[in-house]
Amino acid sequence: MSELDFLSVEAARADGRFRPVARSPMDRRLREARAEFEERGGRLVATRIPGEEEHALAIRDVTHLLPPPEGTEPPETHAGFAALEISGPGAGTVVRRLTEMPLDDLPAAGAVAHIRSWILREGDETYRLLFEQEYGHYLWDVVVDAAEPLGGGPKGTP
Amino acid sequence: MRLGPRPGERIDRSDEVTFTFRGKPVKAFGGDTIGSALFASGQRIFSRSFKYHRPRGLLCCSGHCPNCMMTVDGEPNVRVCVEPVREGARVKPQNVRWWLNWDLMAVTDKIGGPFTPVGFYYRTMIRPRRAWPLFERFLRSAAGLGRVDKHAGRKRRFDTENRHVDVLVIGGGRSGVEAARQAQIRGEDVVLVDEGPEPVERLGFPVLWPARAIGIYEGNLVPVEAGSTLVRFRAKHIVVATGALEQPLLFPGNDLVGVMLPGGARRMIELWSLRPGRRAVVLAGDDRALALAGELEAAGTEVVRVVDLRREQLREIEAWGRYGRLESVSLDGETIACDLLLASGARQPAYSLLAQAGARVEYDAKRGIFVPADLPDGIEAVGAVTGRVGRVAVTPATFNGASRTDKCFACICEDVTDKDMKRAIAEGFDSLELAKRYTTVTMGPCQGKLCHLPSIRLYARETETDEATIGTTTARPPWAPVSLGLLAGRPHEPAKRTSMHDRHKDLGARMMWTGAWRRPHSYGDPEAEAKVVHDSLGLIDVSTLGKLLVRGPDAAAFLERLYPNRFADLKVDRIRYGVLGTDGGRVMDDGTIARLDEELFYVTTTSTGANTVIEWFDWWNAVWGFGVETTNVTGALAAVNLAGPNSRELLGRLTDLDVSNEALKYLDAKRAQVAGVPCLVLRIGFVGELGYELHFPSPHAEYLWDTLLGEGADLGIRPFGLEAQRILRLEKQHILVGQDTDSESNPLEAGMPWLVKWEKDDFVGKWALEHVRERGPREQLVGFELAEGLGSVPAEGGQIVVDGKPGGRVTSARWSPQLGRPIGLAWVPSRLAHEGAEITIKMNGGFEQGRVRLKPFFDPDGGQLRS
Repeated sequence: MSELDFLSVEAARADGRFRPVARSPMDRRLREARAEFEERGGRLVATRIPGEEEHALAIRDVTHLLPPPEGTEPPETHAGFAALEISGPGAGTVVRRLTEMPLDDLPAAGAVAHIRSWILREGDETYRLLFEQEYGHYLWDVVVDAAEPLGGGPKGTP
Repeated sequence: MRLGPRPGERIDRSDEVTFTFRGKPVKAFGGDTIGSALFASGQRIFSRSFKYHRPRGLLCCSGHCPNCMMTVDGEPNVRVCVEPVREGARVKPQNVRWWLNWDLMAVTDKIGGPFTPVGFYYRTMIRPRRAWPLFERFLRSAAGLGRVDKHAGRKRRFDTENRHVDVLVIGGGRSGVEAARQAQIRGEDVVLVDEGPEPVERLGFPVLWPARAIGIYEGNLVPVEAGSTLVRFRAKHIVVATGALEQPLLFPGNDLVGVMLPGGARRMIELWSLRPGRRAVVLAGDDRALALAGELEAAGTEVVRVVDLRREQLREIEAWGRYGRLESVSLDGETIACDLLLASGARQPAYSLLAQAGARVEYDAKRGIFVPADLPDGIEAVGAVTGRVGRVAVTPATFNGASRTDKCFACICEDVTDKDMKRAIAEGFDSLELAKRYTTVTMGPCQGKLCHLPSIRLYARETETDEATIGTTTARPPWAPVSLGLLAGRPHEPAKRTSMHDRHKDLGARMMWTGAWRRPHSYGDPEAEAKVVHDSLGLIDVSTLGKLLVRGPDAAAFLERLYPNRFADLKVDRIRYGVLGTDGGRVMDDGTIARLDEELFYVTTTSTGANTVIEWFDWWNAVWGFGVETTNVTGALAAVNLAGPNSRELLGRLTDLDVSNEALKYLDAKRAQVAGVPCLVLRIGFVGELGYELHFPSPHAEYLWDTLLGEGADLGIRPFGLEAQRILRLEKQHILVGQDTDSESNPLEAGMPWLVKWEKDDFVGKWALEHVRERGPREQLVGFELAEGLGSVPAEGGQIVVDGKPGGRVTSARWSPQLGRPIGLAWVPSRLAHEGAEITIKMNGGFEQGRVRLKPFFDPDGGQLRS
């Protein structure tokens, strides 16, 4: 092993007895929403969540799509980060209910629901939040809760 | 009461809505407010006043005064005059014993006057002291507003929303709409907010309605109440178009039901097609009020007398009523029967928001009103709020009545009469700010909207000065009452969770807070968990440890200078314990440092110390110019400690690494695949048994946790929590920074003098520690044990008694199942810090004798750790 491999999810090796699998910090919340999972490159990814069609405003766990695009402060070790995406009508409102940051000059870093986060714009009504993975449960709950009155809910990544 | 259909009315007669009032159904139309529908159903008394429980009816019909506050669907203090009707709403009166028309507490109005002057509770109910709780309970129930529903937080949802705009216009009157339109033409991002009740003319720009700006804060922050959402606007430019407010006149009987502000009556006619009364007298202070006479006639109200107060100087006004309802008014001795008295003085610019933003307010003696001046940058005022209120009457502070049989209210929110104000001045409260606090005038729900100008005028007359001398009181947010739920917003409680969090919960762990982290306290039986570690094999999640990488050619020299012990000579793949000190030589944090190669160190910190340590490192790195790179990998890595005699066996099953005692010695650091996961393996022993810390990528945490528990099942593996760890580390006398040390502790006195390498040229805190060495230790952190079989454990923070006086304190104490007795750590005077010294510990309401132990209780020579 090279010196910093113990930081790397990609350095895991499956052999006969062992089959390491990487999970997102939001894995449990997705399971509770009865998500269907698929293993992609050693990571479990939620592909579909029952009832997701009803939500025009979607919350997706996109931790597996890290590292983030150019232009954000590069996180040194991306296993330390989680990401979720808010997209659809009302996405901007959800984000504005969680942060004081102006959304006209993204990407930007600041407090989202009291924790440090990067906000990226991926499209007209599509935002990504990038934050320390230990807040995964917390921010997922907060974002889903904020989206609910606007008709939002969790969605998988097909 | 309802008039026939009229052009421009806001009600929709085809849309019938029913709500209940005191359980009885009330019919309303869409577009009605609860207040207008109740009035249409014949209700005239809407509330009972704060102190005297006097009947009160609709006064302003614009959500400013306290007269129509009721409890709607459990929410207290709702101004029903502006609250839109909704199907099935449950409306109840408040602050009333029995019923609005027959309130038992109204007796205070008849007999209470002489006994309950302003501020009476400050003087009369203070003795005997023990009786105050009784008095207080009575006063609270007798006076006041609606009852707060303590469980409302769970019933109603409040959100906070942030919006950044170029221009925010507050107030949707003509001037506000024009300002917004101009901004829109300039291509600016503009939002207009208006509190209602009249709808705003829409011209294509966004309008928030009904919505109330509750203040202007620093940085042009304007929180706006919009239903259940608090919208926090940040605007580059704020336009205040809040208009002007009709001011009531002060005369005996001025709060009777049927005495209204002209604007209130106009809204009743125009918006809801209601006839406000049968026979009306109008006392007009400006053209608007004067024009109301015609509208009243058109609505079928007989107008028996109109007085233009600008032309006709009245000396006496007095209103009389029965059962709190207006029956006649006397004007300079002429008595007129009427059931509606529309009276107002000048319209006072609603300058509060401007004053909050920093504008000066000056008195315009010619018109008898206060007007804003010197607006701060980024704030603009338009329309009536600037003082453009036309020609208005300058009315006297109070009108005397002929007989003076009834009270004259200066503040209807708090039931403060003109006599109360005079009395306060006579008692020496001659500054307006003091009098405000003593009488509570302007401090009620209207926030001075209807009482500020009259009270200043009254003050000026009583103190024989003028309004300009008296000045105004400081304007502070909120400008209008706002529910606490809205200010609190959605409850968010940030918590850090390790990547194994859910596994702990699956196993029935009781979670506890440690700093921002949630950690397992235990999985049910901490003592059994501790025993398993001694007997076979335990597994604990230690992902919360702070984890830093320190890289660069100078990394070794950097650490050497930061820590009091040596790191330059630490060999690659070896680990050393380190205590980080402040400049003052105090213990700041501790942890292990592993050297991964010549220029790379892996530093662990306490669970709550990671951020402080990284800042400390960055600070000194900059000061010394070392060019060392520090990376926080706390979240990126999960970590577990595999501890117990069977730990080597389990580790060996999962890795190709040679785990023999010769190849992987105590305090060795190796990298290896463990069950296919890349790990940093640290052989250390915080809990005293043979053990290995595995640090690995967080996303693999659940997998590795499951694999370790599964593969170790036949070895008796069991997860253990923080509580078991605390017992085990105490058996080893391993300290917890922050628990056993405080911000004054130094390593010399905290039992770690061996750590300090005096021969080093310099390290952070060396100078301070040299002084401690010179003066000698005063108190020391030592281990102690109590008698075998003693069932209870001293409290953490408990006292050590020396010669009958407090002489030390217990910092940690636990029952050790291994030793069968209570053990702990304590600070004791230095003369007692020797092996076997007797100490007296205050506990169980008495004293117990303990014995000082300087060596670990368990495995004192560390043989277990090294085997």
